[in-house]
Amino acid sequence: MTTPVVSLHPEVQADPDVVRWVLTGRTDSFTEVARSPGAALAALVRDGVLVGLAGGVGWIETTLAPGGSWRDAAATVRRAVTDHVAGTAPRELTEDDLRDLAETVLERDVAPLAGAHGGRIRIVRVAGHTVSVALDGACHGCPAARSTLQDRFQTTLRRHDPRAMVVETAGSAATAATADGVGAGAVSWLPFPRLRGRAGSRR
Amino acid sequence: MSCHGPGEGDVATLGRTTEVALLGSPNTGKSSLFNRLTGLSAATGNYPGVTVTRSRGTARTSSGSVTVTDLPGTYSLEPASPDEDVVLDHLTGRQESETAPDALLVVMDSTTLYRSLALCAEALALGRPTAVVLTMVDELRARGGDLDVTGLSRALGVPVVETVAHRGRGLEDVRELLGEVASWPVALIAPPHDDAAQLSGWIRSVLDSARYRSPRSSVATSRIDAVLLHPVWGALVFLAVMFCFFQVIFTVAAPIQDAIQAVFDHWGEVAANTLGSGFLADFVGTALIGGVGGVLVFLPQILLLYLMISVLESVGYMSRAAFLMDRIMARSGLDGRAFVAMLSSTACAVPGIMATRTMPSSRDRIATIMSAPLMTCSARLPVYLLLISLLVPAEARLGPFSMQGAALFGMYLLGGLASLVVARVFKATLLRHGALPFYLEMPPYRLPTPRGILRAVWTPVWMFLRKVGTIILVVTAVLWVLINFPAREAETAHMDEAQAQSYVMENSFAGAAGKAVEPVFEPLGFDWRVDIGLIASFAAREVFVSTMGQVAAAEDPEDPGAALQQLTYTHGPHQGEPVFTPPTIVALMIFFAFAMQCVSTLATMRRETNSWKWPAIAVAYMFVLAYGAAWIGHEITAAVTR
Ligand SMILES: Nc1nc2c(ncn2[C@@H]2O[C@H](COP(=O)(O)OP(=O)(O)OP(=O)(O)O)[C@@H](O)[C@H]2O)c(=O)[nH]1
Ligand SMILES: [Mg+2]
Repeated sequence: MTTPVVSLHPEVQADPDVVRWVLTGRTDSFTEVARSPGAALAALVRDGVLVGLAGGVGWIETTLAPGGSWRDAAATVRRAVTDHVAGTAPRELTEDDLRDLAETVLERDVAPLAGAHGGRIRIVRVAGHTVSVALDGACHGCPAARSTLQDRFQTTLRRHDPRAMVVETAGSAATAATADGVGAGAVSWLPFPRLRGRAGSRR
Repeated sequence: MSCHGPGEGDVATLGRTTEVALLGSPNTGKSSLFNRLTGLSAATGNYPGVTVTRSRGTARTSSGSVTVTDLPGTYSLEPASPDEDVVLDHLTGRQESETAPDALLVVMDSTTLYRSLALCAEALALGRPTAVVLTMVDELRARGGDLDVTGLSRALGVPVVETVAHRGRGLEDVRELLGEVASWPVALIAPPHDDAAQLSGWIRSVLDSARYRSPRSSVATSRIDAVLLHPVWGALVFLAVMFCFFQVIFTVAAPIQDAIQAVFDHWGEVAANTLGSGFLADFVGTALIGGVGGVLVFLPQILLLYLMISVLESVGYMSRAAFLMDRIMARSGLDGRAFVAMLSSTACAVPGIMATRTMPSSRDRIATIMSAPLMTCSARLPVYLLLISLLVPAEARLGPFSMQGAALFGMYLLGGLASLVVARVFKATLLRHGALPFYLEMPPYRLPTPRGILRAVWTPVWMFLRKVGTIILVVTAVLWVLINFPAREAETAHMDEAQAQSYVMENSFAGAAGKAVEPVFEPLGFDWRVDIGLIASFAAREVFVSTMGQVAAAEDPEDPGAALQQLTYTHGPHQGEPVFTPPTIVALMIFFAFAMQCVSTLATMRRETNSWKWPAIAVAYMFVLAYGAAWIGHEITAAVTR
């Protein structure tokens, strides 16, 4: 059997039992993975190697059973994830997917930049392909920072959804789709995303 | 938790400093980084395979010092050549004298990240605490590339910092990183380094996450290469540049040499005036000033030679020269890779022989080791300069060029051709087969930094000065004793000073030795005084120059410069005729070109081939070659000039 070529790499999460397989080659959502995993992934769950599966736009997370070791399991899990991805036809992003994606991108790529400028950026609303954001702190009123952030946000989103738009609104926090706008924080060399709880609880 | 077993991945800090190894592909800037971190002077150069041994140094960080080891560059952790063996030996702590490093600092050239990541995957799979340094980010951005360190760090799961290694930009970040070595992470999941398809998927994914945009190829580099790599123009440019260089040696260095000479002459007078005429005065006048000083005056030429070599190396010309020469080398049965070793031998055969470690084929490697000592090393330079000044008048011209410069160029050409022929002979006889495809990376041209050039010139110049101050000084002093004793005071009582000096020398211990071997070298035109110099030059080739300086100063203390020219045979069929005639000088130069007179070279050969067989063969064939070719040169020159 030849392994299909899928571009992916693992990223360890705050909880070392959880590994996020980042699928940079795919721009669609894998939220379905928990409900209908590929045969190999399903077998790993059945055999008790893995105890959790979760997915999002361009990633799949696998949770190792307590007492297990990635050293032993990683190769098999990698192959199973690869098989699952290769066996799933790409589909259009839904609004939910885009919201998911926008949150991830905001936290991973945009917020650290905003933090470096001493500002905050948060998502107010997601509608269709449009993500509305609000800028606070030092960024607010600084045109340079504003366009940089918006640009960065939009370019990153467009890698997954070519039609994505990021617009700035003066909208109030009341309508925010997410309560936890991520703000100024030190950019650390190992920025483990704190997304696990959210990603796992959705479904 | 599975990944935090005791000892595993933890950096041992008890009792000794933490050991960090610099691991990376060739020519990624490891040694540049090492030098910046440790303040040491490891060799750097813009071609793959500069470093072939490991060197250790101490880097100070905010939280104590860390021992850093610079390693040869390697394309993978499955060694294909002896220099790559060094890397694996060090990583695994295979050599008894070594301990395996506690942590790995992977150095990646950000302009060729795809390839660097393949090695990085292997490094991460070793399961040691790891961090990454990106170099060449200046070039990456200048050529329109980009990347996001945070994204790369997240994708790799280890800390990443950006640097411009040779200029020391980003160095503080590296120091800080080294200070935190105890908390470097171990890759929890090894990248799929042993499956090509999965590995390329991993690399692409990591590059995407880092928003990597690869740089355009350098326009300047491809323009220059269009000329320099052209089969005809390239070769012509190379020869022209070399020819001009040897002109420069005479036009630029000679006046400086004269100035140094004038200083020594002045000291000689001062010494003569203050010390009178005892043994001490003679020692200072002949041994120190005439002998050691006679070698030291060639410092400007040595300096220029190293300046040229270091510019060629750091600009990126070595790989081009190797590529150009590949076709010519093919006739000798070797490839362009061997040429790098041979070109390095123009500094000294020892690093030249060491440079063969980058050659994958062991037969090619030995053939190169056997022929590299024929290349003109810097120790031969003073000998050639002295002899050429005796042979060719300084005013002689070849069109607009200095004839002396052309003669020196000819000597280098002779050495180069001889080593090609010898390599061919070895490849056709003892070392048949073993051809592997020639592969040598062509780095972009890079502007050398003044600091890098200074270091590259200063290190060998300092070694030359040290050699003059140690071995050459000692041997010259010993020779002075051997030349001046027994003192023969009774016999010389009635002679004038010059006569007395000659008499003492002729009947000295050294004189006896010179006369003992005189018959051997008689066909080449050497007299017993030349033979003394020849024997002594086995300690170091430059000693020939200092010995001739002593002889000249003893013969004619008033004008040692002219004394050599006026040296005549003291006995035999040619008695009264001058010794340094063109046939003798040509024979001497050829002898020095081909004779194996360097103990360090032999020791290096022994170590690199792991046997006494090859050094023994080298001594034998080189002596036969030197003697035979010198005799032929003597006869031809005699026929032409008669
Ligand atoms: N532009 C640029 N040049 C660099 C940088 N770092 C090193 N160099 C140059 O790249 C060349 C190679 O540097 P070295 O330090 O010799 O590389 P190395 O990794 O030790 O090479 P090997 O010993 O052959 O494996 C030299 O000419 C350096 O001056 C950098 O960050 N930017
Ligand atoms: Mg090096």
